[in-house]
Amino acid sequence: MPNNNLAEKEFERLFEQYSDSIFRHCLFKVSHRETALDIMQETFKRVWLKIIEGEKLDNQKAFCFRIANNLIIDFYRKSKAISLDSLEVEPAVEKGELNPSEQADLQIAIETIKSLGERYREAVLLRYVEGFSVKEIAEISGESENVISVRINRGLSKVKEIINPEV
Amino acid sequence: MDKKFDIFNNIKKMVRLRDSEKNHARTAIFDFVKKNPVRFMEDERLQQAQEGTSILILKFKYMPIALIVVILLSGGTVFAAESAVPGDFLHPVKTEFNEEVRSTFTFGTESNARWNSRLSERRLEEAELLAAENRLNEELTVRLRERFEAQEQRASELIARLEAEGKTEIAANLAARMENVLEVHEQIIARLAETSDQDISQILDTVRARLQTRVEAREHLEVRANNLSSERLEEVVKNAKVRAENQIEMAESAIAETESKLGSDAVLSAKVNLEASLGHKTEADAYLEAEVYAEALVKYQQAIRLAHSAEVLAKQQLRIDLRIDIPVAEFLLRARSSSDTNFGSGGGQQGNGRTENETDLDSRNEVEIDIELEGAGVESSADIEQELDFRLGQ
Repeated sequence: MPNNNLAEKEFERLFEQYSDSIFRHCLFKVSHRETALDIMQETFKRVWLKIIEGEKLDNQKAFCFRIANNLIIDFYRKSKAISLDSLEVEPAVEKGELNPSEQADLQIAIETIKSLGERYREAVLLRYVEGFSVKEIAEISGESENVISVRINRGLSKVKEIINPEV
Repeated sequence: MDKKFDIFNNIKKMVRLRDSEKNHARTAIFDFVKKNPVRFMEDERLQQAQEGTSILILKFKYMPIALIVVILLSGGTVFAAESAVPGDFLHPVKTEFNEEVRSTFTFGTESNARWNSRLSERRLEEAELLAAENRLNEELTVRLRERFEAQEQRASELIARLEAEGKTEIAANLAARMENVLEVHEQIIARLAETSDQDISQILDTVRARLQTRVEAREHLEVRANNLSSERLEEVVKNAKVRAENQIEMAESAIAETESKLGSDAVLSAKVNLEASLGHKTEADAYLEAEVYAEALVKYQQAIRLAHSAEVLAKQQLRIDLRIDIPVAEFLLRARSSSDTNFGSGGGQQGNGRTENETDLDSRNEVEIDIELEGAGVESSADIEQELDFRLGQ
């Protein structure tokens, strides 16, 4: 049907635009690919339910992340917390498709991010990978903007330390 | 220095869904979407049918059927959108689909005029809601104002056509209703312009200009409606009585609903209007009893206008929850007092009453429009500000 329908089209655009980001966010939080996939799917289902309830989405991306965060909290409540050491961050492509230098870069990137504390990691990733403002991150994580600014700054310093230990 | 951003870049590029995972997720999510279509929320047609004549009711009866067919064909289209405002996710659905569909299934000059007048009213409601929530920006203002003007203009043209078709009474009723709606919204918007930081003066000016046009049109129509034979006049008066009773009933239920949700403070001005309306109604009944039809008609029309104001006020209060005390009753009574004596002879005093508003309007025009750029995602820390230069993709 020609008009079937604008809401769905808009929602589809939302999925195409943010599914990778949401998935990545979940993956760094739950350290398990399948679980992250499940939470990402569930996030979009909840977003759709909110849309058909007539919820106002002022900031669609931040809204999706907030829902994902709530689901992650639920997940932690239900299951025993998973050790971050087991963080399973595999590349999107099959490993064979990455050339050795790419594989090395990815390894460094993941190791660096893994070595940050969980709070710093979330703040830094949301800021520099997902491009959220401090205000948005504060809304997503339920912390004050000051707290988030501090976390981003400290997280970033740590990243610098790891990359350039001599500085 | 840039190396840390390589890290973020690499993560963004390589830590993501695989194509197969994305396809799988997409299928699962859109299966879910198909099973959970958007639901039905608001129906104004019932109300419109109550207000209409018997022929109208007949036509409206078929409208829901046509709509249901469309909804079924389109897989459950989109009534949640009815409460959306510009900038919302579902607002395009409301204006470009829902309203279009209803326009398509609205037949006849009268229902078209009614619907277009309702559309223009919706734009004002949206503007008020956005202003109250501090979400109005310049772009939205321009868009809302243009749409409001176009829809109001269309309604006016249709009313003029009704008049040309000889349906003078219907045209007069519709025009009065539109004027009433504009008057109430003019009050609400004027108050918002004073109390809110948002710049809504552009819309206020437009509403005032249209209101002025409507007042003039109404006076013209009322004069014509008054040139009727006495039998026809009696019939017209009795119709007016029924409409007054219906309108009062609707106002009462709107007030009761708002009061139950927001308390009695929120419905003060609506109640004052309603009481004034009941007063006119009682007088009108007495005139009708005494077969003084012209007087009765005037009184019934006043009762209808006031009751309608009460209804709009109560409903809009519920929408915005502004708790603003709008002196509409006084305003209306003052404006109307002239038509007590002047009905049928031009309403010159009415024109004078308006002149005051015009002066008000002129002074408002001189206020410069401040465009405030809303900083999306303003940074709170200077350190972060500096880091912006190094953001990904730059």
